[in-house]
Amino acid sequence: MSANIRRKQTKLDGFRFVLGVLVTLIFVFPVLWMVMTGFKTGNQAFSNSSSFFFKPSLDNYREVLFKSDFKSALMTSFRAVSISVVLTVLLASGIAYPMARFPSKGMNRLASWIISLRIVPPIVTIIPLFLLLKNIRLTGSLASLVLVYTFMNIPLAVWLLRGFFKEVPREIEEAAEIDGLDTKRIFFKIVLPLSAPGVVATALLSFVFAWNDFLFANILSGATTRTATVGLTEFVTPVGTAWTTIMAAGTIVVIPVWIAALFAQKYLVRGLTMGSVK
Amino acid sequence: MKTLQPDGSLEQWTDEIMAEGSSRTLKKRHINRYLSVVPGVLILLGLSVFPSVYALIVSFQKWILTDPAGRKFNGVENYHNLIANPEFWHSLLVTLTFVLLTVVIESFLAYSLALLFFRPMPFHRIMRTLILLPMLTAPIVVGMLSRFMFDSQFGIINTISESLGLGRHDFLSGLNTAFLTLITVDIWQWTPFLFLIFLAAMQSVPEELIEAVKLDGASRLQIIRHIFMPLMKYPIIVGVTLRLIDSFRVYDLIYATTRGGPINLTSTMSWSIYESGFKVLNVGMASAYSVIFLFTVLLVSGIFLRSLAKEGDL
Repeated sequence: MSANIRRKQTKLDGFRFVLGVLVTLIFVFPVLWMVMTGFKTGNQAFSNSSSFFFKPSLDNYREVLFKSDFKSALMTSFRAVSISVVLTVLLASGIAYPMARFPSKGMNRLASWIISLRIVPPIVTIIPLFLLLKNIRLTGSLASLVLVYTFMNIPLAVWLLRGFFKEVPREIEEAAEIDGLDTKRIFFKIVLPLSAPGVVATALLSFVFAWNDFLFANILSGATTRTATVGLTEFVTPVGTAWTTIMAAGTIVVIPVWIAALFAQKYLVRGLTMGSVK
Repeated sequence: MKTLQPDGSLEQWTDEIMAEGSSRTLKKRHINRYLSVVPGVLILLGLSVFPSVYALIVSFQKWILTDPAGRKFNGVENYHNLIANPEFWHSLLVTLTFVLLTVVIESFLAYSLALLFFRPMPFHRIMRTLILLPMLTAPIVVGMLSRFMFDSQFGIINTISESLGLGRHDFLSGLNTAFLTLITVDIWQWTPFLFLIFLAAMQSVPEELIEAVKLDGASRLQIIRHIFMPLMKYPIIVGVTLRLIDSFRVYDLIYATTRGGPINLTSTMSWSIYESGFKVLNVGMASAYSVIFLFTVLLVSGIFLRSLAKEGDL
């Protein structure tokens, strides 16, 4: 009888495996299709005979990186996003550290308020923000992008960092305090190095969210400050749409995020749930 | 700021002794601790409260950017015009249907997937990582990709559909299909998000607990209902609430594919606000619309957040 159960179990496991592979294929196929199309010539992309087996060409990548404005869009994205990530981590640490180390009623209230900002849809923020930034002639500038990305990521970063800072053993900080270090030094010399992996993960996730943004960039970026996500949509012209080029550009947009996610994998769940699920 | 010299420790030491005696120094020390909060909070305030108040003011004004007459107070006229407009109610319906359908289907699929991948199988690690790819692809890229794949002439989906005998369809421009296609894309992209959270939650259920109830003769379904469900309640609420909040935001996908069409069948509130604000340039109307939209989101997610507050320590 136990053999019977075991046979049933292996049969079930086989079924589970087949289902797992099928499901994985459904989620991977479109992404794979994008990457593959990026390596096709126009003729190959639109003929059925060369759907999966074709001679890969780098023409689209050459087009995207050397012949179009996309390269400068990538540079804009990199600049705006990196500056905002540094600002985010600094400013969010300033909030998160006292929150973790000296909790109080006021601090808890601040934490709730900060998380509630996550609810506000960006389209609601962007209209008044656009009008205000236009008044001070800041629309179309890199600064406006840096500002909104920092604003956008601080809540996430505060909640994540608070959790990471809390995990630093209190005794170490207390010992340092007795040795005469002030709060600032304790933070930079002890807490920050000890929570480095968490801080890096926070930076990586902030990078991902800012990098993927399209709404803010579409409205705030000007002719010289197009981000990569905006540049991507500009391959669609009234004359025609260069699909193979777009797929190559799309792949380029997506790769930094995949790399960042790979490095932050361990903290992905925590990051996506603002630290509430570990 | 105090400079930290070799005698700095002494100074702090006396500080502490004095603090015990005088509550004023104590208070000062306390405030100093929280000083680093200021710049970050200023940015948050400056970019949330300030614009919100501004939006509220503008929502009571007649203000069209192309109109040389400028801006003028017109009371609740914007709100009145909105509520009287059937397009607004249509948008509200489209949005709520979109949010409800995507979140419910994604939750259900993600939970089933998490159960499927809960126990190890060959290559389960690599499969789990690969499933996360859609979620890690920028929504605007997913939008462009959808437009390419669902194209009525050369799209691969039509090729597949035809070879399966299902015929060709105008997936993104057909009256009956556009909305459903967007929902399908959203489900494809965001089910992995909930899957990841649910799976992490399931794996944090102690193995011994499952073994113990198994020995007691509990069935698979009973384990799911009485062990997984209660222990996963908190992560489920967090995950679903976040999806709910984000599903309301859908914009990139619509921008890249349907732009609200055909007619206005995929015109969500996010999209309508964008159109009235940045196409028609009627910022007064767009502001009033934003205010209503914000309250809608708050109302719907508030129901979830309330149960979240009951569960956890928020």
